Amino acid sequence: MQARKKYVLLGLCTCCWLLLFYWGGLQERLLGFLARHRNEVPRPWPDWLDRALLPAYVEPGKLEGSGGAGESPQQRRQAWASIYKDSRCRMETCFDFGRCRGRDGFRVYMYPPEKGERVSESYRKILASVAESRYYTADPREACLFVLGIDTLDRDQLSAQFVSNVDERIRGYPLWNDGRNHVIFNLYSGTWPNYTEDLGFNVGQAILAKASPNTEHFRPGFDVSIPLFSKDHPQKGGERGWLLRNSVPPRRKYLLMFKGKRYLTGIGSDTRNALHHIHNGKDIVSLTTCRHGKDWEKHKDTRCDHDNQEYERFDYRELLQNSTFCLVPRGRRLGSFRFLESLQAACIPVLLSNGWELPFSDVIQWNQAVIEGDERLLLQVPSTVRAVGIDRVLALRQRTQMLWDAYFSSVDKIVLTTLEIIKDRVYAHISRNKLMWNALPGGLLVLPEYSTHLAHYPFYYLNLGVSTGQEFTAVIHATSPLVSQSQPIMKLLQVVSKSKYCSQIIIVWNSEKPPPQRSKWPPMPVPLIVTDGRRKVSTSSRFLPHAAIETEAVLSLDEDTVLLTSEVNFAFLVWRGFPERIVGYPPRSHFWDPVKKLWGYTSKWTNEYSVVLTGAAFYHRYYHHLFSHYLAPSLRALVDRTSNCEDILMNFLVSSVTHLPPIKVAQRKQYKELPGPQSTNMAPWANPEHFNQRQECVDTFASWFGYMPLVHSQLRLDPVLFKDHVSVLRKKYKDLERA
Amino acid sequence: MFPQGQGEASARGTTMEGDCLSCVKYLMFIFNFFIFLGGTFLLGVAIWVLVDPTGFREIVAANPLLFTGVYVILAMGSMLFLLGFLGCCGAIRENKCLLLFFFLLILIIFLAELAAAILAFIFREHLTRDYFTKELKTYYYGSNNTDVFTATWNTIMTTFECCGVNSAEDFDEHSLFRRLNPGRVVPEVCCQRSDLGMNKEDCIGGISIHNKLPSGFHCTSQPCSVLLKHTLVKQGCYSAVVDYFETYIYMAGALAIVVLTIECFGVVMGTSVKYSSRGPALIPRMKSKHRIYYITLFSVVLLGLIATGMFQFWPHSIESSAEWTVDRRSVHDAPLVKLPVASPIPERGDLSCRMHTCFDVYRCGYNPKNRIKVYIYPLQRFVDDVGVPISSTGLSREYNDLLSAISDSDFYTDDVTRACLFVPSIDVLNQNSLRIRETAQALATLPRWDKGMNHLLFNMLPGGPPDYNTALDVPRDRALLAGGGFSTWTYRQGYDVSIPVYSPLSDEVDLPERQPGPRRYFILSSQTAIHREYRVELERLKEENGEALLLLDKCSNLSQDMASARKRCYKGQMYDYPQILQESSFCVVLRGARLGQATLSDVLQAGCVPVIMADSYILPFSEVLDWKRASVVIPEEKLPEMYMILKSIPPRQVEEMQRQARWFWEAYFRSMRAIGLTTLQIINDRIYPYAACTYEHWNNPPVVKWSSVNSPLFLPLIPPRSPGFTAVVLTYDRVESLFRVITEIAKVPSLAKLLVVWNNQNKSPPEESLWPKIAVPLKVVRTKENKLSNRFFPFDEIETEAVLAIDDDIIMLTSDELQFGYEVWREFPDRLVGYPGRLHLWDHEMGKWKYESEWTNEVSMVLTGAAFYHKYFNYLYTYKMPGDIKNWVDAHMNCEDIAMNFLVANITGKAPIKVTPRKKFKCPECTAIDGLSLDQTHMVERSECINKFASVFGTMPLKVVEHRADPVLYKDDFPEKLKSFPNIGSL
Repeated sequence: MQARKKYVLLGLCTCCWLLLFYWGGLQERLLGFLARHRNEVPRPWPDWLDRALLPAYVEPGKLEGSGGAGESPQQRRQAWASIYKDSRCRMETCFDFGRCRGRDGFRVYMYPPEKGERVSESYRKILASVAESRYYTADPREACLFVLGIDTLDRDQLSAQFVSNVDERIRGYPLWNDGRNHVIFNLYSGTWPNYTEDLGFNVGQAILAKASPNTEHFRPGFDVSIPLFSKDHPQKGGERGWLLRNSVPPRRKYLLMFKGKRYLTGIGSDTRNALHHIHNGKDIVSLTTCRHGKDWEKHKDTRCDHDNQEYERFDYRELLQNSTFCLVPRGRRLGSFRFLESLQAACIPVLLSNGWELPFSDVIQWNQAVIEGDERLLLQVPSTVRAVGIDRVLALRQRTQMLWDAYFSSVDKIVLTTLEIIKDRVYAHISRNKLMWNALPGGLLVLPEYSTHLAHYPFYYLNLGVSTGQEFTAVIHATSPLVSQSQPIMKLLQVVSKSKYCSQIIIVWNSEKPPPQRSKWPPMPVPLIVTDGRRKVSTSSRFLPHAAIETEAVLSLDEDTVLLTSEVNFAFLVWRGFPERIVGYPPRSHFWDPVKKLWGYTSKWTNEYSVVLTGAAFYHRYYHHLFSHYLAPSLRALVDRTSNCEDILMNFLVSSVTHLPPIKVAQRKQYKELPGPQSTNMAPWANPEHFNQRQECVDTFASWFGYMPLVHSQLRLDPVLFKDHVSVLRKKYKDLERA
Repeated sequence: MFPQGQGEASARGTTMEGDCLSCVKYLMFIFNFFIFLGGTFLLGVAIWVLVDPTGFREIVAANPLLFTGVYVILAMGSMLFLLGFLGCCGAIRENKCLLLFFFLLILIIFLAELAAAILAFIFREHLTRDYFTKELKTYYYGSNNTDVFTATWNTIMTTFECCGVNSAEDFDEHSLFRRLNPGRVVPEVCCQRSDLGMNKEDCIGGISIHNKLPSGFHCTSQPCSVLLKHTLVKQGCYSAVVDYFETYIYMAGALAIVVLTIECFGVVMGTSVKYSSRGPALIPRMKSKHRIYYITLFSVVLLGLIATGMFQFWPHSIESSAEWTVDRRSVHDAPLVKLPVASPIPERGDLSCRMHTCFDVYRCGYNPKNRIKVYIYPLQRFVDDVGVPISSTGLSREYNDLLSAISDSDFYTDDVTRACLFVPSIDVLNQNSLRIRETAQALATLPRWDKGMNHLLFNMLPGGPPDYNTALDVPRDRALLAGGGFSTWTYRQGYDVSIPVYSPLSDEVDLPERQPGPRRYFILSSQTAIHREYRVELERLKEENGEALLLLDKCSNLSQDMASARKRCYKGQMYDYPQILQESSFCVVLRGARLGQATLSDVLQAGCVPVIMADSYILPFSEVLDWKRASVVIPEEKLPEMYMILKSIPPRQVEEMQRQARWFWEAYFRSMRAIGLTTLQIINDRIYPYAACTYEHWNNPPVVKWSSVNSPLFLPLIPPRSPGFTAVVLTYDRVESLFRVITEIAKVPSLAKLLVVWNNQNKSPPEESLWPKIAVPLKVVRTKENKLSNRFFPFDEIETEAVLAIDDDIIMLTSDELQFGYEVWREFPDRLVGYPGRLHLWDHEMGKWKYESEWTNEVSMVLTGAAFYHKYFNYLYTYKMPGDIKNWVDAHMNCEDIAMNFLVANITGKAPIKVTPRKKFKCPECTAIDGLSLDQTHMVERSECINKFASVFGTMPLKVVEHRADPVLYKDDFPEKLKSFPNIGSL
């Protein structure tokens, strides 16, 4: 009995405790209170009772006038020039803008190399690029920027290409002026063991275009970071990126790869020594070798032999091709060849190089093309790259290709980008914005002198969410004098002006005779402008950037073109869907002649075409500007000299910008190349010489571009019901089918 | 528990206890009677609701939450009914058996409650927000879904006007909802406050803007929230529900305690009831002192129960009221901290600091959300050793706003150990109000200062007379500085953040947005404190260009009071500032003694294009903002050329800049909150560069974001011919026709693989031996459900980029036509390239979209019964299709092709390409029933699809074109045998 009572009591107590426990959370709360008193747990920022009474951070009256107006701006500018020199140079203090005010604006002068001067292959290419660029001038007086003739690329004293006594020699330059307005190219600085930023001579106030600079020494807004490129880097054109298709899912065989040297000692060895930790033998391949330099065996550690063995098993090129991400760790210097290699291979670079000012970082948004890692967080890299979604991989990969193609694939592009960046700084108010630099087709093909407005270019309609204009301007190239009212040009004027999309017609008068009176031209519903192109005496005057063109679309016409209004309308509507391309009628094709080992040109009817003649074609007016200002004067001179090939050149230009073929649209009948009614004045194309010239042109242009930009297409765009078995009444473009 | 058989030994009770006990007995009877009544009522209602097919059920069935509620009511009703009955009868009849059942029931309930409580305690982690959040993320489909879980959530969200468990951001990129509805950030039900500000379409539209961002989809930073501010329900359901029920819970809790107490008394006394009346009792007979002992014990326990119960339900409010009093403190209640004279002073800022040298990244760590955690030090008032405060103003309103904005944001953490960034509560916005040395000492006393590592200081007015340094002069070790008015020499690129100088007018003056366009004045200079040299220069410009320029200055006749800040004068004529800024196209922002000028903010607010002339000035947020699109930067020495330079800007560009300027102000300048959160987002982007917001995200105003297209396949590539294409044939059971299609397609040279999607679950595909023998691999995939969407599943078997989707009855396409289609696709890999074309039209009479399959001159869609497209679109269709389009398609067994056309057009902004001439796409064998395309109802349904999809996308993405693609020499007068694709268009 007693025992039972005890049990009951005990049971009740347990119950009570449990109930207490249930009701309570008591302990928790008590503990909470205690803890709060002990530790003063912080809360979100309180909502102060007297918030409204808090003072403003500055009295309203004082904000404007606080501190007066400061010292005189002129004095300050002078003072600055003396304070902010050398390592603190900025454009405002170390650059003489006055030199760039000349008639032609931005001009680059290159010191002629001295006799017997030893110039490395890379520097020779740089100099050649400068010399061929459209900014080159041989007259130092009109130059805004100066490029040294001395090879300053390799400033490693241990290197064979090191040039000594640079200091004395540059001081000898009469225009040196402590380096003002000079740009110095450099790929390697410093030497073993520290690889400092030291160039071994006094740079003074010159702009440094340097590979692998450190953010600490980099003078922002003044220096330019360039990529490290090898001496085999092509001068022009350059290989395209390796990405041929956007496979989905975009992951490749390996997730992440690295294959390279491991430094056993010295600067940069920390990062490289740790790389093997992330190697998992499956999707992450990180291979290092100790075998480099002469005395590697001296420093050899326990891992070396095993690593070296593993290292041999994989081929670098194959890894590049089969890996989604590529590690780009720092070497002795911050940048490495690996960076450009993986960019080209569409292997998304994962940077492990703290403090590296990335190439052209002024203008390129690198976070959209690479993964910026942190050397300190190496072990997080695998999980980071694993977390990158497939959309982003796809986007990053395409962006590597875009950047490679726009800025890095040749020495020409690297040098030109450097010059353009400096030019954008000098003329800040007419410069490219970040979108121009980072969207297709890249900054080099966007000339801000044309316009700073994005919608004025054919490339950004989709980005901006706007559509192309509803009207076009017809530009008719007239060469034969106006003698009768039945000439083809009259008919053409009628046809074109009848189009409801036509806003104006411009006749470029290129005949020897002066343009006829206004009254000679037929009355028309649209304004007609006759410009005298004779003074320029050039075929390419057709592509002069006529200020009179107000619409985005240009319909370029030869005077003897035979067209129908509905054909024009249809082609224009097609162009609106492809504003960055040439949309025209008569197609031509190029081909590779394996026997002669050169490019050929054919006007035969073929199943493919790559050129659309600009004797009748729509394109964006920006290409006029690009034609006149982007292409080398030598090319335009060639066109003018031969009075030929301007249409091929235009096609080259547009295809090099878009990487796409032109578009051919349906035409009622084949383009008849009949000689005009005045058989005395024989049309130039009847001349066999004319055709041979065109053959040569294709080859010349290809060599100037450094590659063949033309692309073949197998399709033609027809109206939807073109030649379908339906009632003619249903068809909008029935005229096209009448033979 | 209750030992039985003890009653044998029971004795008679005393009459003294009898009175009290009968009282208890009746009390118990009455209580239980009420419980019984309540139970009966509930039961009745529940049964009625369940049984009555007409009235209630319709209402209830429409609302799943109520429907589940009915069952709860039913269960509760029956329980109470039983309980009441037993207690009531047992008490009045003093029936041992009934009472025993009653007690057993109570015991069971108690035990169940106990168990529930223990479980709740053990699993309380799961029942918290996290649990619900996880559930929501994993199982929530989206709006208008029939799934019970989803529907329940929808009801909750609608009823309580809340969104998500914690907030709308619960629907992150990992949630099922977002994966199913890539077009949306939050479900439709979250956009309820349609009467406030924007309407619903704008809300959904605003949301869709998110999905339009190409790669950095997931920037949930402040500009986006600004965008959604008016329409998106912010409150999370957890707090909403808790708020709602809070009062009821207390009441119900209190009530429950009372009832239970009485029940317990009943138990105790009940034993006595039996004991006294019938003899057999449940408690062993005992001496009266023992009984008293027991009763006392029970009383104590009950009192304890009541007390703890009260504590349980009261403390909530007690505590919150305590918090309330703590929260609603005055700034002057902040603890006072005395700084000894000799307390350490930090070193001056190190100009060589960069993120990788002076920032401890380990504190931020790897974080799946890619979001830094920011800690704010509690407010302290620092005084020097004689009691003089270190700052003349103390905490300013602006800094307070900034800190509360941070503490309200996602970045905030109150856990100092988990923080990655620390923000001191010492206000250094204006250096002029500070005592430099003491402020520095105060900084050094912060508990986690550690040489300023990971500390962020906000400063807007740096420097002081006479030389006006461009960075804060307070020594600050390695602290990051978010400063207004940096020059390129003091700004540590990639480390510091350049912020705007906040203008109080942003808050005071409401300038409505003005349409961009030419304005009354061309150039306006409104600053008062500019150097005389500049003023002379401006005067000269004014003389040259006359009316185009307006040159304002301080009003001399006004007294120096508040009003003078809002007035400007020119030759005695007075203008309102900042309203006058709206009258000008360009507004000059010249440097004063400091580089950063608050005028910039006013100018942007007015939508006037700032002409910034301040050499070496680092523009606010220039790390992410593209100022070239919103401003004109001119070197100071070119001031005389200003007019010429500005005149050369095309008018359309000026309009663009005006719009951009206003957007910058709205998103990044308008409040301290905007400034603070933008700064944090920039730092966040540096620490997690791979999750950084894109250029478009930062710079495109909402209008542009909404209409712009960033195709995921933007690189112009013409893929090589060699990989060929994979044909995906969707089939149900037309084996014969299927085999014919297979044999036809197998003739196409570029075919790489053939995939048959067998959509019939009831029938197995024919044996392997029966399939036609073809040269390329043939795979059959069996599906789990007969869904049309199966055709667009990104099967692993598809190894090529190009996919040819083809129906099992399309036998009329020749091999040349298919091969040519593939060649066309190669030239347009980001488009749908198909054979039969269709059109959408706007029906003016009906006011909606209409589907058109007639022989028209235009095309806006191609049917996927025969179409080439990129495999990536399969992926998009399956995982990223916005809204409930996929469900719609599967439910209607129709329109999958229209959905695909919408998807592709929306993401690429381009029209599809129709290839080759028109053919009659009707198989000869098919019966009239199969010939759906001609059916009138079919057309109506497809029109409905277009309308539905257009409303889901919030726009009509389809593009109409008038062209189709043919081979170059199609129908040309040219020998057929020399053409690459001679056999095209033949029937």
